[in-house]
Amino acid sequence: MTELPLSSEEVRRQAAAERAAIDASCRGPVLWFLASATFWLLVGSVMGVITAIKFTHPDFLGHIAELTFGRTRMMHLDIVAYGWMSMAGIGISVWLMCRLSRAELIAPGWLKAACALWNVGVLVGVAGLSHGSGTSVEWLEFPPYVPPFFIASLALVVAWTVTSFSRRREPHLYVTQWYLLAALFWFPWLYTVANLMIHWVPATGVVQSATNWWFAHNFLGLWLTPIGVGAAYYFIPKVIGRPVYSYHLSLIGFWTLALFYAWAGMHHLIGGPVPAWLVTASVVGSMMMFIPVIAVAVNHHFTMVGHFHLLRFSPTLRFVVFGAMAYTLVSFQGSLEALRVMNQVTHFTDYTVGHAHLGVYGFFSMISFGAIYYIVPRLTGREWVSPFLIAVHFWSSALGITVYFVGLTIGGWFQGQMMNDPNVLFAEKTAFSEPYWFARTIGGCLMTLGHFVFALSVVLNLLGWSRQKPKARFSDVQRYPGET
Amino acid sequence: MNLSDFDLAVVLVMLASGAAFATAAALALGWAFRTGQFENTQRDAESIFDADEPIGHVTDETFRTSESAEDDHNQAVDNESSQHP
Repeated sequence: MTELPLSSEEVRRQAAAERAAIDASCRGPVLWFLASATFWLLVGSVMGVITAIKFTHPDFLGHIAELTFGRTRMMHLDIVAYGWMSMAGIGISVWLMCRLSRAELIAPGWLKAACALWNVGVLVGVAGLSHGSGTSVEWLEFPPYVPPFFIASLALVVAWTVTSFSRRREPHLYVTQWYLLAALFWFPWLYTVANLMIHWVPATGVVQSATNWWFAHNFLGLWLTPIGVGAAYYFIPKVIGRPVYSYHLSLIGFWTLALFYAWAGMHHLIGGPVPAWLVTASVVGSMMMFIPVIAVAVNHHFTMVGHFHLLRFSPTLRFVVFGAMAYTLVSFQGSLEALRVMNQVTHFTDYTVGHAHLGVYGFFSMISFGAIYYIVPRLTGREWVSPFLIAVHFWSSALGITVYFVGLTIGGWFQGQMMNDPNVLFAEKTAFSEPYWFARTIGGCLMTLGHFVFALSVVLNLLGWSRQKPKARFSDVQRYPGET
Repeated sequence: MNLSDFDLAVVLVMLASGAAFATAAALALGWAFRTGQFENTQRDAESIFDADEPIGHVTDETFRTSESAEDDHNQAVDNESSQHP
């Protein structure tokens, strides 16, 4: 029997039904990852604020051993790095992989087990840090018994990714998939090798420091960056309904990132006891990063041209575009910081702290928020209960990171000048820094306020609260009831 | 330069790891060329759209305060139907 061609309405219904079925299949595992990430974001934010307050009020909570500066600082960093960003990144990646592969999520049990293992890892790690078992290796502070949880979890996620990818219905890879597949290949490799050479079979001498900064810098560059940039390459065109400005440029951006980023970490050791050629190669790698960054910046900007008015209506677009702009800024700043002449001023100052927060918060976290605002309603079938809450979240986060970044950048620059001047006492530098540290606390409080508002929206959505009459019909279940 | 057995093992692990990384990248690039991933970039760029959420369709307007989003969508559906009866 000859099949009759489908009418445009039937084709539309089929596409909607396929998308709805994919979203329905992702519901459990992705929501588990995103809800866990949201919980850890709150805990990590509180630790960040406590740490910030201690800069201007050193005795604040100082009588509680678990909340002394050395421990809260480690807990803040590791909770947001592993609890918030990594879990949000995995959740977002899983949903994007299914959507872009046009394949329903298979083996949800693997991902739920991975999520449980990851949560146990963070919980055990936080308990270890609070009891003083931190390792003092930056970005790897969790005690050495924690990484096996994360590695086992990553193994499950990678196995799921490979299996899902092999069952995809869409034969061609969208650029986002290149980034996600790379991140899910790079990070397990980075994390395992770093733990092997630092904790389990420790390398001797400066090799440990080199491994430390190779890992720490690539945590942002080869884990968070590909997920963040990949997500932006999906959400900006998808929300505004316009293909990416130049697909060629997006591929150039991806492959040059893959080629150059891994070199960049050693610029953290400028002036340290490591071979000069190692640092120089890293500075060159950092300079070469201008290529992928400019490619991404040009592409995102020209994709948005003519559609900036949509920022008024779409929370996802607001967060993602903010994140994309922060990516350009932080990457330019990072490349320049790698130059020895710049580094001799900014190193060991709050300038670096401001830079790091612009990267992990202004860029990655903001894109993650935007992605979550897009994904969750499609998984629960419910519109966000209050656009006002989302607006409060956006403005408090945007204002918070701006105050934080500007304060520490200016303060850090002058700190560097003062530390390079042998006539300036260290105490004078400390006194000079106080207003900038106060700005850090204000910025941190604003961001934390936004996080609690964000968490409230997520919890209400998961509990079933929704606007009665959604203005924007995102849900295929609502549009075509019974199709799925 | 005298390397201990341990240092030598570390160097070998790093070299093998780096070689595996480079090989994986080369294999990925080879696979991409072999399967024609770079042949029709226009189509790839448009692959995130479908008949229900086509190019030109805005997919997130949570901040819209009027019924205009729904009206816009209905208008788009009507236009589509009139062009392809």
